[in-house]
Amino acid sequence: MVCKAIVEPENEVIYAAYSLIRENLRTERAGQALSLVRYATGQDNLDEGRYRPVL
Amino acid sequence: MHLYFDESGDFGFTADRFDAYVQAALISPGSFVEKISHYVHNAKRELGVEELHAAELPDEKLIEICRFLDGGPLSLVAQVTDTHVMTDAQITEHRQEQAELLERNIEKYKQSGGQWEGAVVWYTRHIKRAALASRINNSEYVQADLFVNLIHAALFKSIVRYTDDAWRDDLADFHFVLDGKLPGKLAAGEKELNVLLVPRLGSNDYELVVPTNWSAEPVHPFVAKFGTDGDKLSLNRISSTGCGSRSHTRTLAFSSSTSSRTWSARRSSNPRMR
Repeated sequence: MVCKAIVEPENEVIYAAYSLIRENLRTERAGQALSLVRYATGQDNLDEGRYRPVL
Repeated sequence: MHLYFDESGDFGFTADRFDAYVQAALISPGSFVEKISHYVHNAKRELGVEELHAAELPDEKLIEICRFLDGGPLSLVAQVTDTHVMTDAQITEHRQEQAELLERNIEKYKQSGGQWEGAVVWYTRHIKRAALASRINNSEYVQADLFVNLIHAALFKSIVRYTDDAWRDDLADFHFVLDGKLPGKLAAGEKELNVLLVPRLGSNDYELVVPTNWSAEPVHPFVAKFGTDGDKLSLNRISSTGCGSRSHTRTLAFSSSTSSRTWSARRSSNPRMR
């Protein structure tokens, strides 16, 4: 479900489903809904456009 | 408290297209588990499927499932990585760095007079684990490695989300459930997770916090069960008990080694990830 919301950002039905759980995914009120993880040697910056709707 | 873990995607870090890989946890008070089972049973029967896999369900059905998830006393945690921020080559590079770090650590241990053979055996095993893709491939390595982060996040959220006294009894027991990759035996990554989990969670990178008033009389069941002398948390006491009906379900064993951590007023971040 979460993966679909990231991979299919234009899918409105998936976005509506994800919106129902986004607040629940946050641990802190002002925190992000998803933790983005990579090794410190990671390469590119995150695709902010892709992740902005799901964080 | 029941913590269910699963992942989405193969963590193959393919170079020819964008892909995202998600690991997620569903946290449920024990008192709500039966309602989850009932909901899942009915949904599977209605859809005529063996398991509820989001990738294989109609999008509209996901709205209904998410409504259920949001309607009860459930909590969710998820983490994601993708092919933009991590490549297969970088995972290999990271593993080499980890192997070198472990080599340096065991040398320091020996130079400082350390003589416990168990330490040498442990280091040797994990140096090989980190360095040799033949022991565990990059996909399984990174999944096991990142899972530790998720399990800590789920434990942390289990505490902070259910601080109300109404959940006291639910925090007396913890059940960790993973969907196993292979029937009847542990996959390579699962074996490593089983061995590494407690030492990793007990390291400086991970801390847990509980409200200070949980130690006051009447002592909170969580503190009574998992606390030790000197305000320490014993991960060994967070027992693992199987639950669920999925055919390849795994339960995590927190009893493979001794590890404890001082409870802290803050949560540290893992410097190896960001």
